[in-house]
Amino acid sequence: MSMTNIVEILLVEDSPMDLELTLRALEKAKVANHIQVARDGAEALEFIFCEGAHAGRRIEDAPKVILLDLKLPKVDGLEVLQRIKGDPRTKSIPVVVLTSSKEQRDIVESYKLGVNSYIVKPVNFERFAEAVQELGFYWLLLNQPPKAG
Amino acid sequence: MAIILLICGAVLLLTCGAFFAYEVVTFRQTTLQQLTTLGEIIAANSTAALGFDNQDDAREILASLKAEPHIVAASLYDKQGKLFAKFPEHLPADDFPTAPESDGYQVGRSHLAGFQPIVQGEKRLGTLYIKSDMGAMYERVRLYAGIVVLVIGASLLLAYTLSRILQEQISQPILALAETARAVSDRRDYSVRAVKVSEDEVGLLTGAFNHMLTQIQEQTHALRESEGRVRAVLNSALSAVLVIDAAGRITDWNARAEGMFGWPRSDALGRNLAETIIPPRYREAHRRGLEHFLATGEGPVLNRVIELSSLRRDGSEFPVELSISPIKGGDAPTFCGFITDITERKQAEDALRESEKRLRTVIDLVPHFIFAKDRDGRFLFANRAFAESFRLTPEQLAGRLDTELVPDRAQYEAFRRDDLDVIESGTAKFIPTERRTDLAGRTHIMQTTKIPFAAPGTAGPAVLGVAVDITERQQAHEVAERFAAIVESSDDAIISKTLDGTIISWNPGAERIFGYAANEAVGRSMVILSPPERVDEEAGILARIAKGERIVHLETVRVRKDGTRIDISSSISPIKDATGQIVGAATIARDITARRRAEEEIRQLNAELEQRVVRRTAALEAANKELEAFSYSVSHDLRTPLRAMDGFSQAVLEDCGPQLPPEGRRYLQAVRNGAQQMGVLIDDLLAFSRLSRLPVSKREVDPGQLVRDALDALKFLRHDRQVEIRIGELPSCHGDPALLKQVWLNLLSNALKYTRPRNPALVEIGCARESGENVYFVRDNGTGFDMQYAHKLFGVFQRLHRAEDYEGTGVGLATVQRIIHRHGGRVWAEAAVNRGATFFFTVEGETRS
Repeated sequence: MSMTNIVEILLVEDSPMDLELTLRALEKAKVANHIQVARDGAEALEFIFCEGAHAGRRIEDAPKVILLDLKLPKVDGLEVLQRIKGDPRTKSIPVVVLTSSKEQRDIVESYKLGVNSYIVKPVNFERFAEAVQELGFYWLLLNQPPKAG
Repeated sequence: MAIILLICGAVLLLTCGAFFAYEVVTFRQTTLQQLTTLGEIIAANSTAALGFDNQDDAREILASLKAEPHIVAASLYDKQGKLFAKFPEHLPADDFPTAPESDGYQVGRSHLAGFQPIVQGEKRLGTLYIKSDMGAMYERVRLYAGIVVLVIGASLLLAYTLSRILQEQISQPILALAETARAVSDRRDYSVRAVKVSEDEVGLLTGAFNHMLTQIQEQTHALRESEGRVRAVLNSALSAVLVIDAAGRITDWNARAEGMFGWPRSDALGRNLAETIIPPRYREAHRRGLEHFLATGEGPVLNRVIELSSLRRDGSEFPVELSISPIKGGDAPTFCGFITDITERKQAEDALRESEKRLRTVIDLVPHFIFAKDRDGRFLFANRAFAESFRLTPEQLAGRLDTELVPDRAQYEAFRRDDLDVIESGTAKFIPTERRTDLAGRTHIMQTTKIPFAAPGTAGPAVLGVAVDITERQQAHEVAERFAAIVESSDDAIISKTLDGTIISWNPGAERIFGYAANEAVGRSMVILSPPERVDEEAGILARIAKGERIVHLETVRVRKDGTRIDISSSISPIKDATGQIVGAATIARDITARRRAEEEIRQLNAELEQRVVRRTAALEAANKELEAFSYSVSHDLRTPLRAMDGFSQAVLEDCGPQLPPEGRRYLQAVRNGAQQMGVLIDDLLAFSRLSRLPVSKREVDPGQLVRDALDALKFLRHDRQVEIRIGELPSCHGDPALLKQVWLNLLSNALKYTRPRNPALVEIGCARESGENVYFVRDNGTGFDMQYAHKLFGVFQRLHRAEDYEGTGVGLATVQRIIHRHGGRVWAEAAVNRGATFFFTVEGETRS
């Protein structure tokens, strides 16, 4: 896979409406070209750990940031987060929880598992777009990840 | 009769003597005159003879004297005094004076002689001497004397004869009377009476005399009786009575004086008093005193009782009490002395003094209060203990008033009342309890007895008191009574026993618990209470007690009199005597049979309850879980469609906005608003429901800080407005700071929100203390509300204002109420439309100011 094909954002989102709105926001922010979408936790894990449909992918080609919803079919977001942060190969991948939940419990648990950022999706789309734009800008452009390998 | 004769004789003698003397004198004068005349004649005749110096003529002239037989001699002397002629001639010249002497005549014993100057004209010629014999005169005198003797003799004879006759009639009765009087005076026999012989004057005299004798007899009798009595009195007097005259001689001396001084009356009378009974060292003073009295009529020892030392006949001295009174009357004063031998009294006094001293020592040793006061409350004496209670010595205390010493007025008045009671009634009074505050301010309870008292040396009645401090006794008594009452009324059995287990005391509680009456139990062994399998237990207990151990909450089984078994819990303690020796044990036993049963029941109930709680908790937990899942779901899932509604509406506006009519754009905007409003509602609701689930973690909170933080967070609500915020004193409270901050946030944001129309807006924050609670409040001058809707104020989603006027979800005050209720406090509001609102709240358990 060429550099240009490297997935910059893995977006894990089960809600089609949220997915569309998020993608729209990211587009409008013009911070990423390659966005991989996973519609549930299992799919996200397959991608990250290069399993199943993504068996051909190299695990080293990690996305620059993973935008992770918490409430997901099959495997929920916290478990996905745990797997990512529990694996030395993937634990340095920045994970931003992007969720509707304002539950303190979720926030605390996420940080315990090593989340890098926790963002509550506002109902107001403008503010949602702003938030997405800012996080894309930060994680994709400003943040300096360790060299892969 | 002799008197009469003597008188007669004397009268006659005197008369005859007078006559006789007269005769003699007359005769002598006649003789002298005759001689003078004769001399003058001779002298005249002789002038010539002398003048012519004719001795013969002279002789002749002289010889003519022969005719006068009584002329025994005569002579003439010439101028030179030389014998010139003499008569008779034969007489020798030596018988004549050799020379003439001074002129004049002199009467000798048997002769009358004289010298006669012979003068012719103025010229003296010589001197005649002539001497006459007195024989004639003597002859005459003898005759007279004879006549006198005869007259006197005859007169006396006559007088004697007459008196002999008269005496028979007059003198005899008088003589008899005189004889009677003599007899009376000689024998002092006033019973003799004169015999009355006639009714004449003498008879009257005799009658009067006899009457007088009768009176004298009566008086004498009375006097004798009185004197006898007086003497008897004097002799029976316990005092020596003596009388002295002004010279200090003893004139009377009674029987007691005889015994006292050893001088019999007969010896004492007439002796000088001082030398008889006064020791030598006092005699001078006695003598001076007597002299002083005689001179001035007063003396320091008179009419007073004085004590001095007196002397017995044997020389020994002894103390006496003496009083001397002058007895007036008569010429010289006499003195009566009363003397009492006070040896015994002195000894008694000494003994008394000694005894008094001992008594004083004893009184001072007594730890109780002993005192005497007069009617005015003045201390007459007090013992040491009492005086020291005022920090005084007994001597200092005497004479002080109790008013100046007793600090407490009420107490002082009570003392006075009791004192006067005793003094006025004259009877003793017992005051069982009396309060007395000492100088250190401690109040003692005294038990006082007061008795009427005649203090020696003081006038008027007094009161003697003895007060015993019974404070400790009273306290001990009260304690003992209290203990006794406790023991008596205790539901527990309280038993005392000896170390061998013999029951000594047994209270009603023991009677109830064990069924034995006290008289059945006392004296028996504790073992009667032990069930057969525990008979050894008591011995073990007593052995531990004997070692000084105390057994607490021993739960065991005992047997009642009726044989039923009971569970008891008992504590057994050693009883010590005053020396600390363990002499027995006190058992306090409680029947815990019922308690045991109750405990068993409780245990079962508890177990059941626990089970139920477990079940309920499980159910609750399940419900909670569901609720959590529900709210999680709400939190997560309800927002997503809202976001879609908002997001896609926005997408339409962005992407197709220009194509839409303005109406369509506005509708889409309304969709968005609705979606967003829904989002806020969901957030608030979730926050609200979270309040019920989260624990409240309390700690000390400074509400002032919370208010400042909240106002800071709410700055945006007032940045373009004029808002006056007043923050009063806010005492700290105990609560969950995060939750309380939410309360302040909500109340303050409300205040700021509803004062929007006000300029300036006023928000007042403070705290008031009401019935022990801190009531915090937030007051504003905003739109307020109608109090009839106040009950809706704190309900979820309840709003009193329209949404277009004041935004909000209606969750804020519900949240406030829930937080306050979770703290255990209260919240309420007072308001009026357009007159502002005040919200009050308390935080439970906060009573600190």
